[in-house]
Order: sequence, then C-alpha cells, then structure tokens
Amino acid sequence: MWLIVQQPQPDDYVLATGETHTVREFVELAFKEVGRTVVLKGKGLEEKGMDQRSGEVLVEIDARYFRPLEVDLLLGDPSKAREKLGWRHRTSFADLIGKMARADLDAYKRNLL
Amino acid sequence: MSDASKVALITGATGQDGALLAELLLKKGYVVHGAKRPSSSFNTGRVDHLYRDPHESGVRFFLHYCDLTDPTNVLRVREETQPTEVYNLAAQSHVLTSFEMPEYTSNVDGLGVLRLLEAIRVLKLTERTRFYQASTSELYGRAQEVPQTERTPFYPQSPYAVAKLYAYWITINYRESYGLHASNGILFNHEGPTRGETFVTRKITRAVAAIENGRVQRSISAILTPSAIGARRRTMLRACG
Repeated sequence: MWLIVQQPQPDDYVLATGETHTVREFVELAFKEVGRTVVLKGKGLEEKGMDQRSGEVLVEIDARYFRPLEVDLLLGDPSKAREKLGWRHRTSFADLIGKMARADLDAYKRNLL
Repeated sequence: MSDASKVALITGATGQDGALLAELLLKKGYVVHGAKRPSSSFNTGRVDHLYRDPHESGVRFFLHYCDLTDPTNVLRVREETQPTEVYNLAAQSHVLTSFEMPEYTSNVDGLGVLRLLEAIRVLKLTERTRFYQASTSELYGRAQEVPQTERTPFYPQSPYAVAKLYAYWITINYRESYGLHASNGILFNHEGPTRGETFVTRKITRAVAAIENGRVQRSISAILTPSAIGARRRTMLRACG
C-alpha cells in the first residue's frame, strides 16, 4: 500500500501471491500444527473432518454460512506489482497458517481467547 | 525521528490492515492519524501497543472518531489532521454480512469513499494529498478470466463487491477529473494472526486452539463455514506480505 502511494504516478495494482489454495488445505495444515491428521468422511452437507487417531469430529459444515452467490476461482496475477513496485509476497501459505495457529494457541495459554 | 512532511490518515485503523499499516508508517517516521468508529466497548486491541497518551511529548500516533457515513465528520477529520497521504481501509468488509446489510454496506464502502474524496476536493487539497483505496479481489466475482490482472473485467457477486466497484471507479474518476494522486490496491485474500475472528481462516485457527485446550470436546460445527471443508474448490486463501 505504502509503495503504491509513493509512486510518481497514481495507478491501480493487483496484490496477490499467484497461488490458490482451498479452505480444506487450510484446515489440514492448521490441525497438522498440533499433530492431528484430518480425515474427511461423508458428502455434501454431511461431510465431516475426523481426527485420524481419536475419531473425534474436528470440523463440520453449517449451511447458515452459505452465501446467496459465491465467487468463482479467484487467482491474482501480481506481475504488474512485481515489475513496477518490486513487490512480492514473502510468507508461504504453510508458514502463514503456522503463525496464525501458534498465535491462537499462545493466546489460549495466556487466557486471552 | 518525526518528519513533519509525512502525515498519514488511516481509516479503519483498528482493523487488521490498518493496525499493521499504522505500525509500518510510524517506523518510517510518519505522524499517523487513525480513524475509528465510536463503540461502547473497547475495539482498539490491534493498536493498543502503538498508542501513547497524547499529553506526552513526541507522540506521533493519534486516534479520531470517524464514521464514513457522516459527511461533516469526515470533512472535519480531514481538515483537522491535514494528512499528506490518506489510506482508506475502512469498510463493512464481511461479504456474507453485506447480503444482510446491503444499504449500510453500500453507504460505507461506496459513498464513504466519495465523502473522503470530496473532503479532499472541497478543502482544495488535491495537489498536496495522495489517496489509497483498498479495493478487493471480490470485484472479479464471476471471474471473466483466470488469473485476474488489472485489465480483467469486473463482475461483482455481492452487495459488498458492488459497493467496492463504485469505490474503485470513483477513485479513478477523481484521479482523472481533478489530477488527484489516487490509486487502487486490488488485494486478494490476506490473512494473519490479527485477522478478524469472523473470517474463516481465523475461525479455523481459533478452533484448533480451542480443541487442543479441551475447551470444545467434540465438533466445532457452526464455527466453520461450509467452505471450510465442503467441496468449495472455489474458495481459497492466499497469503500476502
């Protein structure tokens, strides 16, 4: 954002990683952070994610969170920002999830959540 | 050291992006004015570590009440803070909520941007102010091509995205009409530990912490959105910066 504002000429830029990931991947990596493997069972609204070892249900689907309309495959091409601003993302998908999970685990320990 | 020539006004300063931007600009020596909506409960958790009592000396971070639905309020905050750079990060940014509050979302996310731009124009500050508008990948909606670039046509799919489409174009309109240094950053998903608790990524990592600490014995249904695990290949997460 700051780099965009510092340019001699105003312009519009896409900021993205050029990668796409599913929420499913996010769930798997987040639970991996605490040593749990998520196994998926069932279909559609009945699909559930279980802990491979204990069989505990870790994730479920709730139709209340469906949107009336959903967006298509969003995948940004950051070429312009890379060429004109020298900007590129620095945090990988896995590192991001690790950081977020550890921050929430830490907050729990300190009774902040 | 403070550089008096660099003064930023950040709307949405208490949000994920606003707080990170405030921290970055303070490190760069800016005076930073953060705008936040009034609330009867504390909502400054992300900027508390930056805040110091304004009665102390050398303070460079200030908070102001500002609501983009209130035109005279926007004008006064703009006039009082005299920023050289305005970063508009304020929005009702929750897509699902925008279906429930479409008019409010349009007012804040669409007309709110116009109010900020008009404040710059009316105060005759177009030549000494730079403007950043937080645009969004939601503008692409029913994506017309993959991957999306700055030239991909927009097809918004929610009241949020439609309001942001107005914001995108009114920003360009003020750039082309009045020569304002105004730019759009079209950001795809950007997540982090301070992401709002109602967004799916943060719901998942909070759920991991809750389950691991035995607070939730079994399922975390309703904590996760359907896209958390459903076959919604279309939903994706992306790291930024």
